[in-house]
Amino acid sequence: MGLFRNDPKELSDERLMELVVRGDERAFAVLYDRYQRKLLSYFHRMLWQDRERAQDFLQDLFTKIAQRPQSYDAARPFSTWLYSVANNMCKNEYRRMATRKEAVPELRAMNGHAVEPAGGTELDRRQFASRLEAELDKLDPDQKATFVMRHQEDMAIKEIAAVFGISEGTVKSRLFYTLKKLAASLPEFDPRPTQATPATGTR
Amino acid sequence: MERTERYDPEDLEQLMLERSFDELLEEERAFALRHLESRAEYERMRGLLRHLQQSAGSPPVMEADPGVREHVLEAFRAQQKPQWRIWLNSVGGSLFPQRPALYWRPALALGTLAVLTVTALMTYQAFEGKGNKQLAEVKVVQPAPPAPVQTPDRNEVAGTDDAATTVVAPPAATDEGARMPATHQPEEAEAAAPVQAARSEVTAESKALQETAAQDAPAATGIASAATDERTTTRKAEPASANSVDLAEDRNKEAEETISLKRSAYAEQSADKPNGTAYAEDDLLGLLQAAW
Repeated sequence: MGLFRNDPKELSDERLMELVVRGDERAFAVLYDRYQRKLLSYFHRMLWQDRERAQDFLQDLFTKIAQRPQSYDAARPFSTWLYSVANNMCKNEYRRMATRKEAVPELRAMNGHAVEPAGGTELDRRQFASRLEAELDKLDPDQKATFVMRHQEDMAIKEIAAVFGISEGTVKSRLFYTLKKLAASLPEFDPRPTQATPATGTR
Repeated sequence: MERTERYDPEDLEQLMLERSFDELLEEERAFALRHLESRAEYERMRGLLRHLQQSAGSPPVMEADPGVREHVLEAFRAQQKPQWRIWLNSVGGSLFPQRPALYWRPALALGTLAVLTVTALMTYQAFEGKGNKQLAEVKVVQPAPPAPVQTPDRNEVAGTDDAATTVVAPPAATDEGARMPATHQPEEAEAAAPVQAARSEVTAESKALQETAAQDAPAATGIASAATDERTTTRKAEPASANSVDLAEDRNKEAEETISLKRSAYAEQSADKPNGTAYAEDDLLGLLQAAW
């Protein structure tokens, strides 16, 4: 039956979504398995490293897709569409949390973002990640999302631009100024005191 | 020769990842300082980018709980319950795919369906032809059905009395003799002789009356009365003894009772027949009584 039906795992995201619209449960399961780790990680970073909340959001996102698969715009890449939906969910959550201002300090305190300053390259990665997340939470949601997509989800500038519906130049500019801001707020990671000359060659 | 700078912020990031500020060329330093405030800022940003690279090299592996997957799939199944809608959607999606390159699929499916339909029809017709042949052979061999049992009784009634009936009856005496008990046969033969003679006369007259009745139906009753008178006259002329006559009358009564019983049974049987048949039977009975 290979002539009529391929293994869903070999199909593209867009083709799988076509099958999902027709009610193919296997295609839906493959899409979930393909994206659950990335999206869980994304939600985890965007939502104050709260794993339970990230799981809830992941479940909500795929429940929405299950209930309204027709809402997928076939003209867009599926991953871009998926991240734009996820990003909108996060922004809604930020708004909701903004109305409950007392919840944010609690969350931050709960996550234990206080990090002992340490010397540049010897800083523990986990400490760096924790400190970085704390500073990211202070940023504008769009800036944070752009930064997470670029530097943590490893998405291309073009994909990020498609997610937000903006030009690639705007994404680059946004990334640059976010990085500049973070560098200013994280002076403990300045490598200059122990800076060794990089091994990269010269032009 | 003056070169035009084509760096953008993304290029600056790449520059930071590759070299420190000291390693930059003069024009690269000038470009960096147009976007940044100082060398210190360049180095801070460079340090951050390198940390980010190292962190990205070992991302935490996060896996959602299996319960989330189950819940999501359950939601999908619940959404797909109205199957007919999905079926219609899938028909439309199958017949008219979005990508023209996929049109070979519905074409192949419909072609296969057509071939299968034609094959099924041809097979069915072949089997159906064989069955008809066997049935035809059976029908040819089947013999003609025997005459119905009631026919002699009706003929007996008609042959005995009825002058206006159109039924052609076999000889009544044959039937009567067949139905009589064996012990009474000599006496009955003796008594039946004058009756037979009278009946033959009545039959002859009834034939004549039948021809007249066909021409003039309303006169049929009068003719029947005349036949009755004739019959009465014939009875008076019988030379047989009184006992024989009584015996013959008894037999006639028995015959009438038998006839009436069978007639009622026949009427029940013919209840399903068209009205025209029942009407003819009633006429027959009326004419019979009038003639008797």
